[in-house]
Amino acid sequence: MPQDTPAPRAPVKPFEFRKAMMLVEATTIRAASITQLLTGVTLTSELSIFYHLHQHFLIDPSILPEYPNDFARWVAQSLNNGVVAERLANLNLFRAANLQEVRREITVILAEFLARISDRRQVPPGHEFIFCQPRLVVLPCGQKASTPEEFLGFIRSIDIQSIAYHLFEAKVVPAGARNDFSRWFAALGYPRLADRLDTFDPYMNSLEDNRKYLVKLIADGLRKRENHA
Amino acid sequence: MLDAYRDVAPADMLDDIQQLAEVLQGRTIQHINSTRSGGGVAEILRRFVPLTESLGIRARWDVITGPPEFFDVTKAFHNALQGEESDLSHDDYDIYLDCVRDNASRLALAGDVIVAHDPQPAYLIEFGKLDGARAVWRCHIDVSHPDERVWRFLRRAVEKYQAAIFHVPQFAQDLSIPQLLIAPSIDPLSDKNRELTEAEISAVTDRFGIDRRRPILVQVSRFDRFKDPVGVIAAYRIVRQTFDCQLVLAGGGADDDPEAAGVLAEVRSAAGDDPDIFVLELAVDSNVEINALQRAATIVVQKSLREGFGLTVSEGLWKGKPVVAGAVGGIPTQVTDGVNGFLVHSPEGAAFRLRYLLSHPKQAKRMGERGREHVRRNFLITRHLRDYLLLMLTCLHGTRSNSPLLIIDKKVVDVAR
Repeated sequence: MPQDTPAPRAPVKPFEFRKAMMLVEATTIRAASITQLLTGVTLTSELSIFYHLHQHFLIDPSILPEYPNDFARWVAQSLNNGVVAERLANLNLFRAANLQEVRREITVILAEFLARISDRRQVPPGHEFIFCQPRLVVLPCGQKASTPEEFLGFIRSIDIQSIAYHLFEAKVVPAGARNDFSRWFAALGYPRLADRLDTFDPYMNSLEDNRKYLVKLIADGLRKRENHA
Repeated sequence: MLDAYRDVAPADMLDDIQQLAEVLQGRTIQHINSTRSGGGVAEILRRFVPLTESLGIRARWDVITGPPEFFDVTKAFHNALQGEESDLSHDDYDIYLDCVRDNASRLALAGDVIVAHDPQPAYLIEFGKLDGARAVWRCHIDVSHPDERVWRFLRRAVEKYQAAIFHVPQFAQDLSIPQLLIAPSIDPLSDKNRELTEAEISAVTDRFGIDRRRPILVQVSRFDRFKDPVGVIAAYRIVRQTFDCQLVLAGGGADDDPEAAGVLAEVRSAAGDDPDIFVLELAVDSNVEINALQRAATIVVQKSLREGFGLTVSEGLWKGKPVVAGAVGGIPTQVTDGVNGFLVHSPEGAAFRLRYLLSHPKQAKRMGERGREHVRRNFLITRHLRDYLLLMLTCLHGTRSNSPLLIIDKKVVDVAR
């Protein structure tokens, strides 16, 4: 297990908190059945997949809905197919290396179901799944942390959209990293804390609960290093 | 001016607006609609334009004019686009086109971004000069099941815009241009939504003879069949069998709605001589009265059969009231069923939920609190303003690009994907 021990190292750039705003675009791809959902997931853009997996975090940051993505919720509520909805709810977004992998996982779930059961259920007009995609505008929050203590202070109160950006959206913006927080703490010489930041699954909590967990994780990490020193 | 929202809107939202405004300094946005008073569009623009100006972005608001026949035709368009069968003749289309052509010759189209609101000015793009401008068509109505003939006619003009904007994805159509989604909003500082004292609320209810000691159900909307005021009376009559409550149906016509008088007569007839039903025909500027009635309400109702967005729902939620509303148009975006209100599909459904909420006042209060927070984040004018600034950025940097835009040092960088 790596230890968070102070070690002389090259200066690390301050962590610049960013956030993304989105203007949503409705595409012309719609689905009224599982078969059409499979086609839609295959055709739609990666950004669209990303949007439908994450948008609920921002609508109400204090709630983790029963079905944690749009695909699962629509299949449950509009098609009344609990089995497929549960499988879609259980997508392993945290472990997926990229959105291509997530897209593949969704298509496998839908295709496997269709291979076993000839499901002709269709939703009535007006209840179709409409594929949307975001136009992202990324901007700095105006806060830069030079020390872990500063970072902890910012994370307690920073715009919740910034937490979402660094946990989720940075994955789809080039030049972003999978987990910005983890990378920065690793560079600062906190490998153990960096590991913990890299292995916590943000998809199991609401955004506000993720913030609380991050605060606890980082405060614990800093305290342990202080004790060790 | 934005500072006035510090205590009510999320602080981060205001910071976003400032940052976006910095990169749009000196640009112009021009709104064009068909009325300066009555209806949701005029209400939003009246607040929106000065707020935009206060950020250093020029905002123009132009209104197209026309004879009563023009507004009869556009009202028929409005109904047809919301699903009513149309019997419009060639002459009707000619009345529309002649009037828009006439307006185009008089209007100066001068925005970096031009927003034409609803069907009335849509054909300006055929007759106006839009050199260098980026025009978008903003649709405020539910066009998910339009009359095909009217939609085909409108679509010819709409597809010439850079983009169309709808309230919710369900209203989007199979168009060749990008379809962006922007929900409308309420202004928490306007007379219709600002905080009122108990004395101010009582002054209004006393004036109308409404008893604040008994439960009050309130629906505020134009007298329009799509708002189903007669269905609300039917629901109230069921509730009345158990609860000694009152019903307030408050609304007024809009300048561009020639049907309102007929619907009002139907509502009065359905209400009969029940002293606990208050059918209030309010003047268009009765904002404090509407605010007071919503604040006096035990439950806010919006039992629409078709709806553009149904902003009265957000108004009710903002006042901490649970809302019982039709599951149509933009209402499900505002009411999360069972969380901040209930979605219903019939007078009986509305009656059942009203009875439930009257029976569980603590739960009703909790729902109202959740509703206020939901509106604070998603349906205040500040979020709307931010979306329009994002729209301007998107238009100015190409509406067809999906590349994320990055703002660095007050400059916009298009991130190549």
